[in-house]
Amino acid sequence: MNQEPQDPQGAAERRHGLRRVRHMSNWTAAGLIAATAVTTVYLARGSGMTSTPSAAARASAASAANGASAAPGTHKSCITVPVATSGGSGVTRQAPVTKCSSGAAGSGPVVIYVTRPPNAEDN
Amino acid sequence: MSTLAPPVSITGLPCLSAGVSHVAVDRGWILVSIGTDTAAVAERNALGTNVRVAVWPAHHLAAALGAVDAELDRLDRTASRFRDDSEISRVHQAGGGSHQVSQGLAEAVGVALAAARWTGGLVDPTVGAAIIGLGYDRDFAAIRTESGARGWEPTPEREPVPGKGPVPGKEPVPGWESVSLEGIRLTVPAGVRLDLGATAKGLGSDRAAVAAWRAAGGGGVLVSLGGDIAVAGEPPGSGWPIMVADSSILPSGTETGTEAGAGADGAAGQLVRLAAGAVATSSVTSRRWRQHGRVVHHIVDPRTGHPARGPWRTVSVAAASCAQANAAATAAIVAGGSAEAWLSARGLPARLVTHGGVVRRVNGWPAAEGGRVPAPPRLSELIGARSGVTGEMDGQEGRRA
Repeated sequence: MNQEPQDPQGAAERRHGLRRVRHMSNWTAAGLIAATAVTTVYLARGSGMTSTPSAAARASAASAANGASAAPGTHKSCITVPVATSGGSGVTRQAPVTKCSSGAAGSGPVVIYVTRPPNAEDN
Repeated sequence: MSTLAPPVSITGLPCLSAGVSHVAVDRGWILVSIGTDTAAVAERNALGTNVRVAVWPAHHLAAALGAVDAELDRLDRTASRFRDDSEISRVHQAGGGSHQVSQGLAEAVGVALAAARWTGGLVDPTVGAAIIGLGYDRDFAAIRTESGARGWEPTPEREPVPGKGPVPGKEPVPGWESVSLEGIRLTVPAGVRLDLGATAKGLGSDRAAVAAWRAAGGGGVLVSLGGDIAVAGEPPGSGWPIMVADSSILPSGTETGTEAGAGADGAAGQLVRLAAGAVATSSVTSRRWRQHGRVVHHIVDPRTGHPARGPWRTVSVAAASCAQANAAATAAIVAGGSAEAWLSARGLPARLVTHGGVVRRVNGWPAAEGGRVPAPPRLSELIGARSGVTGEMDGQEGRRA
């Protein structure tokens, strides 16, 4: 029968060493996990991958808030202001001022880009 | 047509950041914010009035504007009586007679004659000399500047009162039956001047809406030519939101409104939704000017040669085509007390406003703010005259059904 040499002090030192290694590994693993999580969140913010709703989801929520619901198969938009005025010849301009309730867009000025050349004439 | 300028990127500007990447800029289109990038809206001046185009999806805008420009050019070159070099002006300059005209002018005159027949002469393209006699002989912007055009002032004293005496400059109206159109052969008696104002803008909106929709390749398009509005394709949501209003609710001294609803007499503008067809409005509160000390306006009663008088200051009509809506709205102003019955008999949804601000609605015109205008009936009388457009609109409405 083959037996280990009897050395109580050596065995105790070996067990203590193993415990230290295990403790170090646990802390290292925890640190790595935490670092990975922080990096992931940082990168996600940088690429715009936030947990906020998409524009479509916001529009849908706004529609629901307005009491409107889209019929199946139809396009549901968030056009809440008149896009044109019918008022007889000469009463034609309508400057929409109301913004969509979702706040998803529409924070700009009424006329956002004037392209008319200064010397252009119609008729 | 002028040369297209290089497209200008508008990416990143507010309100249109998602849908529109480029837009043609050569004709002076101005982008208008509507508070969402679901659709895109642009406007410019043309044909002596304001033109608006709305499209969805928004990235269809550039294609739609190009098509609208082409149609406006065509209408201006053929049917404008304010251009000396237009085709209709050349017919007038020749002193009438028989002329072979373009398909575009033939269609415009054909629609005007069909409207005259359909309305029993309540609208008549031979009022040209009468309206010129009243002083409307050039672009209205010039008249406004030179003669002190009047804004709406809702007092009885400000109403045109041509019946109380002859209007200086009044000319007889020869009558639409004196004009003949066979194919593209137009025959006009000497001295007759055609004014296609009761139908031409509507026809232009019809043409432009269909052309823009075809150019866009889908989605939905709205074209407003001086407030005569035609839609094509699929509307956004339950319909394009549009305002019906007249100058009585607009701030004094301007024709540019903001939000309607400021009317002091209960006839404030109304927001409605238009899913198909067209809406046009005629009003005696706009295009008014002074002649020899009296206020006149641009809607002439062909039966008298005078500015129309009657109980209505503004009439809005929905119809399957904008030319038809345009003719019906003008006919209702001229018809006066019989307008409601005339419109009811034809099944056309309409909103009529008296000089005192009382609103009357016929044939299901919505009473509620934001209500949807009911689908107007297809009346063969005037639709049939729209060669080149009818087929497209027929197919379009079939899909909607």
